[in-house]
Amino acid sequence: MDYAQLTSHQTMLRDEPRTEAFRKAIMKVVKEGDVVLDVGSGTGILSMFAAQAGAKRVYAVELSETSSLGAHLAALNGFSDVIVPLHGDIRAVQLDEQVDVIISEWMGTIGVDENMYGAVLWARDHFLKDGGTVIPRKVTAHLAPVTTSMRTDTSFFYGKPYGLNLAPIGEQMVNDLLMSRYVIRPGDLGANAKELWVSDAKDDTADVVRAPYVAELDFTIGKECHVTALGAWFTADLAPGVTLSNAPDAAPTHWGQLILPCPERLHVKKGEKFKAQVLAQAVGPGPLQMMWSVAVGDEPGQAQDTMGGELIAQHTPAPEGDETGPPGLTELGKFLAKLAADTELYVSYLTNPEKTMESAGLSKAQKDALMSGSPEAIHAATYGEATS
Amino acid sequence: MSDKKGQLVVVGTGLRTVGQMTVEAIAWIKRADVVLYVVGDPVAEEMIHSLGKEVISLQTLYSESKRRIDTYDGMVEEILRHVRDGKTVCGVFYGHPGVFVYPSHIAVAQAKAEGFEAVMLPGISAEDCLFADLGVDPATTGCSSYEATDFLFHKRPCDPASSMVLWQIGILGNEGYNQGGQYDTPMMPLLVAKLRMFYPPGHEVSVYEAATQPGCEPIIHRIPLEALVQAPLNAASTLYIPPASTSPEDQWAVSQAAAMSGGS
Repeated sequence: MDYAQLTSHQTMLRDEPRTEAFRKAIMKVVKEGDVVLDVGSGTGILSMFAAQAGAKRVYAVELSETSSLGAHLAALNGFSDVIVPLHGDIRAVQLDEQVDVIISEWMGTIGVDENMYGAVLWARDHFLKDGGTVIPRKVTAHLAPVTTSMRTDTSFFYGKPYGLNLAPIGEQMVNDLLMSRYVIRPGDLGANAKELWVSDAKDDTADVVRAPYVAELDFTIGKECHVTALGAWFTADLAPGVTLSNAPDAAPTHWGQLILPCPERLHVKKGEKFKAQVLAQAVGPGPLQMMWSVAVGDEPGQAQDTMGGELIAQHTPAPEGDETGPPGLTELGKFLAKLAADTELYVSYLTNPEKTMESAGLSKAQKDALMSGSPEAIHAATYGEATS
Repeated sequence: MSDKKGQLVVVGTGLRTVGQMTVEAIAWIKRADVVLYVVGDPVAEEMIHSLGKEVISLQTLYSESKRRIDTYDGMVEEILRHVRDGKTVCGVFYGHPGVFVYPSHIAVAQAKAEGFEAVMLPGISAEDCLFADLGVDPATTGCSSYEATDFLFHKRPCDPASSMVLWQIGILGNEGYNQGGQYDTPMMPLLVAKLRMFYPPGHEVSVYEAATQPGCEPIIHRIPLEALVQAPLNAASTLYIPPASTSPEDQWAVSQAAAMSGGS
């Protein structure tokens, strides 16, 4: 979600289950005279709730330009003597005091996927008083195999439109679902959901966000069906007795649910074993990169990975016990190694990069990554699993 | 020239392997009987493996919580073992092999002490990249350069009229190794307090990180000195402090020079 766009904030503000749950939690936790820090305050709605709850001061820290709108809204609602708008990264601002409560609506569709949790932990370690409170205290992600039909309609591209073969576009579209907001109905679940991972703002150390989130879950299929995807969502413990969830059976929210699509429909029978492996890892400041695989019974797994919806590679999970070897290099990585060792090739690349990359057989995604000027994009496209 | 058969040549990969390997570094990797390396970059690893005959990683000697000095001693010993076997050995290190690299210097010195031919060839260091990326010419006002932890715990001269570079600011006070490259720096307030004795709190400094990928920009965060305590840092971060004042002319030297040239 682009938080510099007002439409993002409009969507969140219109999400009453989300906003009311936070209001309820803030009213319950923030006491008269408390000092509060709102991390990623956006329009400042949560800061204003904290001011209404009796906070004597609320530091509203917002990275995007929305900060100025938040300041305007705070003044308009009579909170300018309580709310202190601070425009910038939480790691760069300075507060004159420690705070009693940190509030932050940092969750993506499964909690950590928007890559904002680290900022909250940093704020906790630097600004929260001993015994202070973080809202939400805990966010638990859940996962289940699902039979949803809400997948991108790829049939158009397989139907030889305009008499041309556009099937590869359809093949890649299987990954487009990642950052979309889809809705899973409770009846779409092929098995009971299981806990994916837990983010505990009280006990997690700050470096937890630097390691990949990894889960391997075994399900027992509850009914004969065709599994089309893995569905995921979160449940947040905002305050004692106050929870917020985007689970399929909860009140609809702007998040919907996350869908990690299977490459093809998987026919499963009741009682059959179904294994899912999911990995989410930060590769830069944006959303986490996700990798996942599914397997039915003893069949070999089908794996996918994606970055922001774009297919990077379909890969086979590394065999167990192979974690200590050097990271695999993609064709791009091998190309860079040749470029480093061969001055003639480097001259050719500097003269005509497109042609040189073409001759090396790089894919469009790899070429785009190398020309992007983004260290994160090049890193991700260089050090992934080797492509065939 | 030594008449002992073993030989050691130490080279660097540069900060950005693609384009910063020197021609002689590539030549020695190809020429050596054994190549031992510490580079931490899979692209460099791939390149070394593609060029070398027998290639061995020294990276495996690192481990979490092991003192770096113990790791370095192990690297030196492994390099020397092959030299003593009478082989031409090429040691490859990240960046410039002699800048903030302890085992390369020790290995060369030890090999020489044992009567072997040993040499270190220059590579492109982070300082070379910094001068280029920040547009700093050390000839203009002078430039002092210290390792950050060393600067903190020693009474090194600090001239606010000259540029200053503090290396390894992101691992201030750390002696261990962390595979993630991220370290706690609880002594940062001490360092800032020390710098405040020479510079105003709002003096703009640069937290710099050289580009390691082709076609990418370096990372440069310009922040007030006092904000350094909260700045995000990592093991590759370097602090550049521009001059905060001008240096007065040395009247004694000027008058002496004038007298020598016959002026008044």
